[in-house]
Amino acid sequence: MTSDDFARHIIDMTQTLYRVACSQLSASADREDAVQETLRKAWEKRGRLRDERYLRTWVIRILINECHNIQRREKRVTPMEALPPAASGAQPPLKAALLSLDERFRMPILLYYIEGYPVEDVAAMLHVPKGTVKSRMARGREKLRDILMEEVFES
Amino acid sequence: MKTSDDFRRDMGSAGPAFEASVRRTLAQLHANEEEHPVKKLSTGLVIVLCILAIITAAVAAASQWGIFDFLSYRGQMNQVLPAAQQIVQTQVPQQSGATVYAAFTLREAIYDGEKSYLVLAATPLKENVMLVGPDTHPEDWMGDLGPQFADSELCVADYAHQQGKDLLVRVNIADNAAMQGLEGCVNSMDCVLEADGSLVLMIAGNQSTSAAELPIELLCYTTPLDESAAPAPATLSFTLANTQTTASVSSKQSAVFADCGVEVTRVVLTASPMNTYARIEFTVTDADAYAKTDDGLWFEFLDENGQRLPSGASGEGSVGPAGEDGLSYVQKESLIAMEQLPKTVTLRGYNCWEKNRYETHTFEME
Repeated sequence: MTSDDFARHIIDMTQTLYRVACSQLSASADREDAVQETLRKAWEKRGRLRDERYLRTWVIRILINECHNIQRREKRVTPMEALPPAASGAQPPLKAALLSLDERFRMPILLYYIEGYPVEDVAAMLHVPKGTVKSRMARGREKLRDILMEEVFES
Repeated sequence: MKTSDDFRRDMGSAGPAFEASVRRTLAQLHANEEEHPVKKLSTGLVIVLCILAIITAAVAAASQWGIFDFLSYRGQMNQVLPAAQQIVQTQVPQQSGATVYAAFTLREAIYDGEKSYLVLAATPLKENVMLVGPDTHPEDWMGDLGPQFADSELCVADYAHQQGKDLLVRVNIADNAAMQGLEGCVNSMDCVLEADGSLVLMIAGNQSTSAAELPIELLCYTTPLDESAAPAPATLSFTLANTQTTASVSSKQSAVFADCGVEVTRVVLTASPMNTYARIEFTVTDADAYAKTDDGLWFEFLDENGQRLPSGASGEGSVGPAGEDGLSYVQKESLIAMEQLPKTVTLRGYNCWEKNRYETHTFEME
Protein backbone atom coordinates (compact mmCIF):
# COMPACT_ATOMS: atom_id res chain seq x y z
CA MET A 1 0.00 0.00 0.00
CA THR A 2 1.43 3.38 -0.94
CA SER A 3 1.48 6.28 1.49
CA ASP A 4 -1.06 8.05 -0.75
CA ASP A 5 -3.46 5.09 -0.52
CA PHE A 6 -2.99 4.91 3.23
CA ALA A 7 -3.59 8.66 3.61
CA ARG A 8 -6.72 8.51 1.42
CA HIS A 9 -8.27 5.75 3.55
CA ILE A 10 -7.45 7.57 6.76
CA ILE A 11 -8.83 10.90 5.56
CA ASP A 12 -12.03 9.11 4.54
CA MET A 13 -12.45 7.70 8.03
CA THR A 14 -11.56 10.85 9.98
CA GLN A 15 -15.10 11.26 11.34
CA THR A 16 -15.19 7.64 12.51
CA LEU A 17 -11.80 8.01 14.21
CA TYR A 18 -13.11 11.11 15.93
CA ARG A 19 -16.30 9.47 17.18
CA VAL A 20 -14.51 6.33 18.41
CA ALA A 21 -11.92 8.44 20.26
CA CYS A 22 -14.70 10.67 21.61
CA SER A 23 -16.54 7.69 23.01
CA GLN A 24 -13.46 6.63 24.96
CA LEU A 25 -11.59 9.80 25.94
CA SER A 26 -12.99 13.06 27.28
CA ALA A 27 -10.01 15.38 26.69
CA SER A 28 -9.43 16.59 23.13
CA ALA A 29 -5.65 16.47 23.62
CA ASP A 30 -5.89 12.79 24.61
CA ARG A 31 -8.08 12.05 21.57
CA GLU A 32 -5.54 13.63 19.23
CA ASP A 33 -2.70 11.76 20.95
CA ALA A 34 -4.56 8.47 20.57
CA VAL A 35 -5.24 9.02 16.87
CA GLN A 36 -1.68 10.17 16.16
CA GLU A 37 -0.24 7.10 17.85
CA THR A 38 -2.76 4.88 16.04
CA LEU A 39 -1.74 6.26 12.66
CA ARG A 40 1.94 5.87 13.47
CA LYS A 41 1.47 2.21 14.49
CA ALA A 42 -0.80 1.43 11.57
CA TRP A 43 1.70 2.99 9.16
CA GLU A 44 4.64 1.09 10.62
CA LYS A 45 2.83 -2.25 10.60
CA ARG A 46 0.91 -1.81 7.36
CA GLY A 47 2.98 -4.58 5.75
CA ARG A 48 1.31 -7.08 8.09
CA LEU A 49 -2.10 -6.26 6.68
CA ARG A 50 -2.76 -8.94 4.07
CA ASP A 51 -5.83 -7.37 2.56
CA GLU A 52 -6.34 -3.64 2.10
CA ARG A 53 -10.09 -4.12 2.55
CA TYR A 54 -9.54 -4.70 6.26
CA LEU A 55 -7.57 -1.50 6.82
CA ARG A 56 -10.46 0.36 8.45
CA THR A 57 -11.36 -2.48 10.81
CA TRP A 58 -7.71 -2.85 11.72
CA VAL A 59 -7.13 0.86 12.33
CA ILE A 60 -10.18 1.10 14.60
CA ARG A 61 -8.97 -1.87 16.60
CA ILE A 62 -5.59 -0.18 17.08
CA LEU A 63 -7.34 3.05 18.07
CA ILE A 64 -9.44 1.29 20.73
CA ASN A 65 -6.24 -0.22 22.17
CA GLU A 66 -4.55 3.20 22.16
CA CYS A 67 -7.51 4.71 24.00
CA HIS A 68 -7.17 1.95 26.60
CA ASN A 69 -3.46 2.73 26.94
CA ILE A 70 -4.23 6.38 27.60
CA GLN A 71 -6.98 5.47 30.08
CA ARG A 72 -4.55 3.20 31.93
CA ARG A 73 -1.90 5.94 31.97
CA GLU A 74 -4.38 8.53 33.21
CA LYS A 75 -5.43 6.18 35.97
CA ARG A 76 -1.83 6.00 37.08
CA VAL A 77 -1.31 9.76 37.28
CA THR A 78 -4.75 10.91 38.40
CA PRO A 79 -5.91 10.00 41.88
CA MET A 80 -9.31 8.47 41.21
CA GLU A 81 -10.87 9.79 44.41
CA ALA A 82 -10.09 13.34 43.22
CA LEU A 83 -12.06 13.06 39.99
CA PRO A 84 -14.75 15.74 39.76
CA PRO A 85 -18.41 14.77 39.63
CA ALA A 86 -19.78 14.28 36.12
CA ALA A 87 -21.05 17.51 34.64
CA SER A 88 -24.81 17.53 34.32
CA GLY A 89 -26.49 18.69 31.16
CA ALA A 90 -23.16 19.58 29.57
CA GLN A 91 -23.60 17.18 26.65
CA PRO A 92 -26.44 16.60 24.23
CA PRO A 93 -28.72 13.93 25.75
CA LEU A 94 -28.13 11.20 23.16
CA LYS A 95 -24.37 11.48 23.38
CA ALA A 96 -24.52 11.64 27.18
CA ALA A 97 -26.77 8.57 27.24
CA LEU A 98 -24.42 6.63 24.99
CA LEU A 99 -21.35 7.65 26.98
CA SER A 100 -23.03 6.62 30.22
CA LEU A 101 -23.11 2.99 29.07
CA ASP A 102 -20.42 0.58 30.12
CA GLU A 103 -17.86 0.21 27.32
CA ARG A 104 -18.95 -3.40 26.73
CA PHE A 105 -22.29 -2.10 25.49
CA ARG A 106 -21.23 1.32 24.18
CA MET A 107 -18.67 0.19 21.64
CA PRO A 108 -20.80 -2.41 19.80
CA ILE A 109 -23.63 0.13 19.53
CA LEU A 110 -21.31 2.87 18.29
CA LEU A 111 -19.59 0.69 15.73
CA TYR A 112 -22.69 -1.09 14.43
CA TYR A 113 -25.50 1.44 14.61
CA ILE A 114 -23.63 4.73 14.33
CA GLU A 115 -20.61 3.81 12.21
CA GLY A 116 -22.43 1.15 10.21
CA TYR A 117 -19.94 -1.73 10.43
CA PRO A 118 -21.28 -5.28 10.07
CA VAL A 119 -21.37 -7.53 13.13
CA GLU A 120 -18.41 -9.56 11.83
CA ASP A 121 -16.23 -6.46 11.68
CA VAL A 122 -17.36 -5.24 15.08
CA ALA A 123 -16.51 -8.66 16.55
CA ALA A 124 -13.04 -8.46 15.01
CA MET A 125 -12.50 -4.92 16.30
CA LEU A 126 -13.55 -5.81 19.83
CA HIS A 127 -11.96 -9.28 19.97
CA VAL A 128 -15.20 -10.96 20.97
CA PRO A 129 -17.39 -13.57 19.23
CA LYS A 130 -20.24 -12.39 16.97
CA GLY A 131 -22.84 -13.73 19.40
CA THR A 132 -21.35 -11.60 22.16
CA VAL A 133 -21.57 -8.50 19.95
CA LYS A 134 -25.24 -9.21 19.27
CA SER A 135 -26.13 -9.83 22.91
CA ARG A 136 -24.25 -6.73 24.04
CA MET A 137 -26.02 -4.62 21.42
CA ALA A 138 -29.36 -5.92 22.60
CA ARG A 139 -28.56 -5.14 26.23
CA GLY A 140 -27.10 -1.76 25.28
CA ARG A 141 -30.27 -0.87 23.40
CA GLU A 142 -32.35 -1.83 26.39
CA LYS A 143 -30.25 0.37 28.64
CA LEU A 144 -30.47 3.30 26.19
CA ARG A 145 -34.23 2.84 25.98
CA ASP A 146 -34.43 2.96 29.77
CA ILE A 147 -32.29 6.10 29.95
CA LEU A 148 -33.98 7.97 27.11
CA MET A 149 -37.45 6.56 27.80
CA GLU A 150 -38.07 5.84 24.13
CA GLU A 151 -37.08 3.25 21.54
CA VAL A 152 -33.69 3.56 19.86
CA PHE A 153 -32.52 2.40 16.44
CA GLU A 154 -34.82 0.61 14.05
CA SER A 155 -34.40 -3.17 14.24
CA MET B 1 -37.66 6.54 18.05
CA LYS B 2 -34.09 7.80 18.09
CA THR B 3 -32.24 6.80 14.95
CA SER B 4 -28.59 6.35 14.04
CA ASP B 5 -28.66 9.79 12.38
CA ASP B 6 -29.87 11.37 15.62
CA PHE B 7 -27.00 9.82 17.55
CA ARG B 8 -24.46 10.73 14.85
CA ARG B 9 -25.63 14.33 14.96
CA ASP B 10 -25.36 14.49 18.74
CA MET B 11 -21.93 12.87 18.76
CA GLY B 12 -20.69 15.88 16.79
CA SER B 13 -18.05 15.85 14.11
CA ALA B 14 -14.31 16.23 13.97
CA GLY B 15 -13.49 19.92 14.02
CA PRO B 16 -10.74 21.68 12.08
CA ALA B 17 -8.18 21.07 14.85
CA PHE B 18 -8.77 17.32 14.85
CA GLU B 19 -8.70 17.14 11.05
CA ALA B 20 -5.52 19.20 10.95
CA SER B 21 -3.93 16.87 13.50
CA VAL B 22 -4.74 13.84 11.31
CA ARG B 23 -3.38 15.50 8.17
CA ARG B 24 -0.24 16.68 9.97
CA THR B 25 0.43 13.17 11.28
CA LEU B 26 0.00 11.69 7.82
CA ALA B 27 2.33 14.30 6.35
CA GLN B 28 4.96 13.52 8.98
CA LEU B 29 4.73 9.78 8.30
CA HIS B 30 5.11 10.45 4.60
CA ALA B 31 8.09 12.77 5.15
CA ASN B 32 9.80 10.33 7.53
CA GLU B 33 9.51 7.56 4.97
CA GLU B 34 11.21 9.67 2.32
CA GLU B 35 13.94 11.30 4.37
CA HIS B 36 15.07 8.75 7.02
CA PRO B 37 16.78 11.54 8.99
CA VAL B 38 19.92 10.75 10.98
CA LYS B 39 20.05 12.32 14.42
CA LYS B 40 23.34 13.38 15.92
CA LEU B 41 23.79 12.01 19.42
CA SER B 42 26.29 13.05 22.06
CA THR B 43 28.86 10.42 23.10
CA GLY B 44 27.39 10.29 26.61
CA LEU B 45 23.92 9.68 25.29
CA VAL B 46 25.19 6.99 22.92
CA ILE B 47 26.82 5.17 25.86
CA VAL B 48 23.64 5.35 27.92
CA LEU B 49 21.56 4.14 24.98
CA CYS B 50 23.97 1.28 24.36
CA ILE B 51 23.75 0.22 28.02
CA LEU B 52 19.98 0.39 27.86
CA ALA B 53 19.95 -1.57 24.61
CA ILE B 54 22.10 -4.29 26.20
CA ILE B 55 19.80 -4.45 29.23
CA THR B 56 16.73 -4.53 27.03
CA ALA B 57 18.17 -7.25 24.79
CA ALA B 58 19.14 -9.28 27.84
CA VAL B 59 15.68 -9.15 29.36
CA ALA B 60 14.02 -9.74 26.01
CA ALA B 61 16.00 -12.94 25.68
CA ALA B 62 14.94 -14.13 29.11
CA SER B 63 12.41 -16.95 29.15
CA GLN B 64 10.97 -15.82 32.47
CA TRP B 65 9.62 -12.35 33.01
CA GLY B 66 11.27 -10.09 35.56
CA ILE B 67 10.95 -6.47 36.66
CA PHE B 68 12.79 -5.07 33.63
CA ASP B 69 10.73 -7.13 31.19
CA PHE B 70 7.63 -5.46 32.58
CA LEU B 71 9.26 -2.03 32.38
CA SER B 72 10.30 -2.71 28.77
CA TYR B 73 6.76 -3.85 27.97
CA ARG B 74 5.46 -0.56 29.35
CA GLY B 75 8.13 1.37 27.39
CA GLN B 76 9.70 2.58 30.66
CA MET B 77 13.24 1.21 30.48
CA ASN B 78 14.56 4.67 29.58
CA GLN B 79 13.10 6.00 32.84
CA VAL B 80 15.37 3.99 35.13
CA LEU B 81 19.17 4.09 35.48
CA PRO B 82 21.41 1.16 34.52
CA ALA B 83 22.30 0.98 38.25
CA ALA B 84 18.77 -0.31 38.85
CA GLN B 85 20.07 -3.71 37.67
CA GLN B 86 22.27 -3.82 40.76
CA ILE B 87 19.49 -3.43 43.30
CA VAL B 88 17.30 -6.29 42.08
CA GLN B 89 16.85 -8.90 44.78
CA THR B 90 16.59 -12.46 43.50
CA GLN B 91 16.39 -15.73 45.42
CA VAL B 92 14.75 -13.90 48.32
CA PRO B 93 14.18 -16.29 51.27
CA GLN B 94 10.44 -16.80 51.41
CA GLN B 95 7.66 -18.84 52.86
CA SER B 96 5.69 -19.70 49.77
CA GLY B 97 2.14 -20.92 49.69
CA ALA B 98 -0.47 -22.54 47.48
CA THR B 99 -4.22 -22.69 47.04
CA VAL B 100 -6.00 -25.65 45.48
CA TYR B 101 -5.47 -24.05 42.05
CA ALA B 102 -2.01 -22.43 42.08
CA ALA B 103 1.31 -22.14 43.89
CA PHE B 104 2.84 -18.71 44.47
CA THR B 105 6.50 -17.71 44.65
CA LEU B 106 8.37 -14.40 44.69
CA ARG B 107 10.65 -14.32 41.68
CA GLU B 108 12.44 -10.97 42.20
CA ALA B 109 11.99 -7.62 43.90
CA ILE B 110 13.31 -4.08 44.27
CA TYR B 111 12.81 -1.92 47.34
CA ASP B 112 14.53 1.47 47.52
CA GLY B 113 12.95 2.85 50.69
CA GLU B 114 10.11 4.56 48.79
CA LYS B 115 8.60 2.07 46.37
CA SER B 116 8.56 -1.69 46.09
CA TYR B 117 8.41 -3.68 42.85
CA LEU B 118 7.60 -7.38 43.24
CA VAL B 119 7.45 -10.04 40.53
CA LEU B 120 5.42 -13.09 41.57
CA ALA B 121 4.84 -16.32 39.68
CA ALA B 122 1.53 -18.17 40.04
CA THR B 123 1.88 -21.73 38.73
CA PRO B 124 -1.28 -23.75 38.05
CA LEU B 125 -1.53 -26.96 40.06
CA LYS B 126 -4.18 -28.64 37.90
CA GLU B 127 -3.91 -29.64 34.26
CA ASN B 128 -7.28 -28.12 33.33
CA VAL B 129 -6.65 -24.69 34.91
CA MET B 130 -5.75 -21.54 33.00
CA LEU B 131 -4.84 -18.58 35.22
CA VAL B 132 -5.93 -15.04 34.28
CA GLY B 133 -5.25 -11.61 35.79
CA PRO B 134 -7.10 -9.83 38.57
CA ASP B 135 -9.38 -7.56 36.47
CA THR B 136 -13.01 -8.47 37.02
CA HIS B 137 -14.20 -6.90 33.74
CA PRO B 138 -11.17 -6.57 31.46
CA GLU B 139 -11.73 -4.73 28.18
CA ASP B 140 -9.25 -6.95 26.39
CA TRP B 141 -8.91 -10.38 28.00
CA MET B 142 -6.22 -11.63 25.66
CA GLY B 143 -4.27 -8.37 25.39
CA ASP B 144 -4.12 -8.26 29.20
CA LEU B 145 -2.21 -11.55 29.22
CA GLY B 146 0.88 -10.00 27.65
CA PRO B 147 2.33 -8.73 24.40
CA GLN B 148 2.37 -12.15 22.74
CA PHE B 149 -1.44 -12.06 22.79
CA ALA B 150 -1.88 -8.44 21.69
CA ASP B 151 -2.83 -9.37 18.12
CA SER B 152 -4.65 -12.59 19.00
CA GLU B 153 -7.84 -13.21 17.08
CA LEU B 154 -9.09 -15.61 19.77
CA CYS B 155 -11.24 -14.79 22.75
CA VAL B 156 -9.91 -16.08 26.05
CA ALA B 157 -12.35 -19.00 26.23
CA ASP B 158 -11.33 -20.17 22.75
CA TYR B 159 -7.66 -19.85 23.64
CA ALA B 160 -8.16 -21.86 26.86
CA HIS B 161 -10.03 -24.53 24.89
CA GLN B 162 -7.21 -24.64 22.34
CA GLN B 163 -4.75 -25.25 25.20
CA GLY B 164 -6.89 -28.05 26.64
CA LYS B 165 -8.04 -25.99 29.64
CA ASP B 166 -11.63 -25.87 30.79
CA LEU B 167 -11.37 -23.90 34.03
CA LEU B 168 -10.45 -20.21 34.02
CA VAL B 169 -9.20 -19.06 37.43
CA ARG B 170 -8.70 -15.42 38.35
CA VAL B 171 -5.62 -14.57 40.43
CA ASN B 172 -5.59 -11.63 42.82
CA ILE B 173 -3.08 -10.46 45.40
CA ALA B 174 -3.63 -8.39 48.54
CA ASP B 175 -1.21 -7.09 51.10
CA ASN B 176 -2.10 -8.44 54.53
CA ALA B 177 -0.79 -5.24 56.16
CA ALA B 178 -3.10 -3.09 54.04
CA MET B 179 -6.04 -5.28 55.00
CA GLN B 180 -5.22 -4.47 58.62
CA GLY B 181 -5.28 -0.74 57.89
CA LEU B 182 -1.51 -0.27 57.44
CA GLU B 183 0.34 1.03 54.37
CA GLY B 184 0.33 -1.67 51.73
CA CYS B 185 2.57 -2.65 48.83
CA VAL B 186 -0.15 -3.40 46.24
CA ASN B 187 -0.92 -0.22 44.28
CA SER B 188 -0.84 -1.54 40.74
CA MET B 189 -0.59 -4.91 39.08
CA ASP B 190 0.46 -6.03 35.61
CA CYS B 191 0.51 -9.61 34.46
CA VAL B 192 1.64 -11.85 31.64
CA LEU B 193 0.96 -15.49 30.86
CA GLU B 194 4.19 -17.39 30.24
CA ALA B 195 4.53 -20.31 27.86
CA ASP B 196 4.36 -22.93 30.65
CA GLY B 197 1.03 -21.56 31.88
CA SER B 198 2.47 -19.58 34.81
CA LEU B 199 0.80 -16.22 35.37
CA VAL B 200 3.50 -13.72 36.32
CA LEU B 201 2.49 -10.53 38.10
CA MET B 202 4.43 -7.35 38.75
CA ILE B 203 3.10 -5.50 41.77
CA ALA B 204 4.21 -1.96 42.56
CA GLY B 205 3.50 -0.14 45.77
CA ASN B 206 4.44 2.76 48.01
CA GLN B 207 6.21 1.86 51.24
CA SER B 208 8.16 4.83 52.58
CA THR B 209 10.53 3.90 55.40
CA SER B 210 14.18 4.21 56.35
CA ALA B 211 14.20 0.83 58.12
CA ALA B 212 16.86 -1.57 56.82
CA GLU B 213 14.31 -4.28 56.02
CA LEU B 214 10.70 -4.46 54.90
CA PRO B 215 8.71 -7.55 55.89
CA ILE B 216 5.81 -8.31 53.53
CA GLU B 217 2.99 -10.82 53.80
CA LEU B 218 0.81 -11.25 50.72
CA LEU B 219 -2.53 -13.00 50.49
CA CYS B 220 -2.87 -14.81 47.15
CA TYR B 221 -6.42 -15.49 45.96
CA THR B 222 -7.56 -17.83 43.20
CA THR B 223 -11.21 -17.72 42.13
CA PRO B 224 -12.78 -19.75 39.31
CA LEU B 225 -14.54 -17.34 36.94
CA ASP B 226 -17.87 -19.07 37.30
CA GLU B 227 -17.82 -18.92 41.10
CA SER B 228 -18.13 -15.88 43.31
CA ALA B 229 -16.37 -17.28 46.40
CA ALA B 230 -12.62 -17.87 46.45
CA PRO B 231 -11.11 -20.77 48.37
CA ALA B 232 -8.85 -19.83 51.29
CA PRO B 233 -5.97 -17.65 50.06
CA ALA B 234 -2.36 -18.74 50.12
CA THR B 235 0.08 -16.71 52.20
CA LEU B 236 3.41 -15.66 50.73
CA SER B 237 5.85 -14.08 53.22
CA PHE B 238 9.32 -12.62 52.70
CA THR B 239 11.54 -9.76 53.85
CA LEU B 240 13.15 -7.30 51.43
CA ALA B 241 16.36 -5.39 52.03
CA ASN B 242 16.01 -1.61 51.78
CA THR B 243 18.65 -0.51 49.27
CA GLN B 244 17.84 3.11 50.24
CA THR B 245 17.58 6.25 48.13
CA THR B 246 20.91 7.76 47.14
CA ALA B 247 20.64 11.57 47.51
CA SER B 248 18.18 14.33 48.30
CA VAL B 249 17.90 18.09 47.66
CA SER B 250 15.44 20.69 49.00
CA SER B 251 14.39 24.11 47.77
CA LYS B 252 16.05 27.14 49.36
CA GLN B 253 13.05 29.44 49.03
CA SER B 254 9.28 29.50 48.59
CA ALA B 255 7.27 31.03 45.73
CA VAL B 256 3.74 32.39 45.40
CA PHE B 257 1.67 31.19 42.44
CA ALA B 258 -0.80 34.07 42.56
CA ASP B 259 -3.04 32.96 39.66
CA CYS B 260 -3.91 29.70 41.38
CA GLY B 261 -3.85 31.10 44.92
CA VAL B 262 -1.10 29.04 46.56
CA GLU B 263 2.42 29.38 47.90
CA VAL B 264 4.82 26.51 47.29
CA THR B 265 6.74 26.33 50.55
CA ARG B 266 9.06 23.41 49.86
CA VAL B 267 10.19 21.18 47.01
CA VAL B 268 12.16 18.01 47.77
CA LEU B 269 13.74 15.64 45.24
CA THR B 270 15.07 12.25 46.30
CA ALA B 271 17.12 10.05 43.98
CA SER B 272 17.02 6.31 43.40
CA PRO B 273 18.06 4.23 40.37
CA MET B 274 14.35 3.53 39.80
CA ASN B 275 12.79 6.99 40.16
CA THR B 276 13.38 10.55 41.26
CA TYR B 277 10.82 11.04 44.01
CA ALA B 278 9.36 14.53 44.15
CA ARG B 279 7.46 16.12 47.01
CA ILE B 280 5.89 19.58 46.69
CA GLU B 281 4.38 21.20 49.77
CA PHE B 282 2.01 24.10 49.18
CA THR B 283 -0.40 26.27 51.15
CA VAL B 284 -3.52 28.07 49.99
CA THR B 285 -2.99 31.85 50.23
CA ASP B 286 -5.97 33.05 48.17
CA ALA B 287 -9.04 30.87 48.79
CA ASP B 288 -11.05 32.34 45.89
CA ALA B 289 -8.32 31.84 43.32
CA TYR B 290 -7.65 28.31 44.60
CA ALA B 291 -11.38 27.43 44.54
CA LYS B 292 -11.42 28.27 40.82
CA THR B 293 -8.95 25.43 40.20
CA ASP B 294 -11.69 23.01 41.37
CA ASP B 295 -9.01 20.96 43.20
CA GLY B 296 -7.39 20.34 39.82
CA LEU B 297 -4.11 22.05 40.62
CA TRP B 298 -1.05 20.02 39.75
CA PHE B 299 2.56 21.15 39.42
CA GLU B 300 4.62 20.13 36.43
CA PHE B 301 8.41 19.92 36.54
CA LEU B 302 10.00 21.62 33.52
CA ASP B 303 13.49 21.20 32.09
CA GLU B 304 15.69 24.06 30.96
CA ASN B 305 13.86 24.15 27.62
CA GLY B 306 10.46 24.46 29.25
CA GLN B 307 9.52 20.87 28.41
CA ARG B 308 7.77 18.72 30.97
CA LEU B 309 10.12 16.24 32.67
CA PRO B 310 9.07 12.65 31.97
CA SER B 311 7.37 10.63 34.69
CA GLY B 312 9.25 7.90 36.52
CA ALA B 313 8.85 4.16 36.18
CA SER B 314 6.15 4.05 38.82
CA GLY B 315 4.23 6.59 36.74
CA GLU B 316 1.96 7.69 39.53
CA GLY B 317 1.32 10.74 41.64
CA SER B 318 -1.20 12.25 43.99
CA VAL B 319 -2.19 15.48 45.70
CA GLY B 320 -3.68 15.40 49.16
CA PRO B 321 -4.15 17.40 52.33
CA ALA B 322 -1.03 17.73 54.48
CA GLY B 323 -2.91 18.46 57.67
CA GLU B 324 -6.32 19.22 59.04
CA ASP B 325 -6.22 23.00 58.44
CA GLY B 326 -7.74 22.60 54.96
CA LEU B 327 -5.04 24.90 53.57
CA SER B 328 -1.92 22.74 53.40
CA TYR B 329 -1.40 20.20 50.63
CA VAL B 330 1.34 17.94 49.37
CA GLN B 331 1.91 16.64 45.86
CA LYS B 332 3.92 13.43 45.52
CA GLU B 333 5.04 11.99 42.23
CA SER B 334 7.90 10.16 40.63
CA LEU B 335 10.02 11.59 37.84
CA ILE B 336 12.50 9.95 35.51
CA ALA B 337 15.55 8.64 37.43
CA MET B 338 18.53 11.03 37.33
CA GLU B 339 22.26 10.41 37.74
CA GLN B 340 22.55 13.79 39.48
CA LEU B 341 19.84 15.82 41.10
CA PRO B 342 19.44 19.32 39.63
CA LYS B 343 20.63 22.54 41.25
CA THR B 344 17.43 24.31 40.16
CA VAL B 345 13.92 23.08 39.39
CA THR B 346 11.16 24.91 37.56
CA LEU B 347 7.54 24.33 38.49
CA ARG B 348 4.52 25.30 36.42
CA GLY B 349 1.00 25.24 37.81
CA TYR B 350 -1.38 23.13 35.70
CA ASN B 351 -5.06 22.36 35.91
CA CYS B 352 -5.61 18.66 35.29
CA TRP B 353 -9.33 19.15 34.53
CA GLU B 354 -9.25 22.13 32.18
CA LYS B 355 -5.64 21.53 31.06
CA ASN B 356 -4.83 25.23 31.23
CA ARG B 357 -1.51 26.36 32.65
CA TYR B 358 -0.68 28.81 35.41
CA GLU B 359 2.51 30.72 36.15
CA THR B 360 6.03 29.32 36.40
CA HIS B 361 8.67 29.68 39.14
CA THR B 362 12.22 28.43 39.46
CA PHE B 363 13.63 27.15 42.76
CA GLU B 364 17.26 26.81 43.78
CA MET B 365 17.96 23.44 45.37
CA GLU B 366 20.59 22.43 47.94
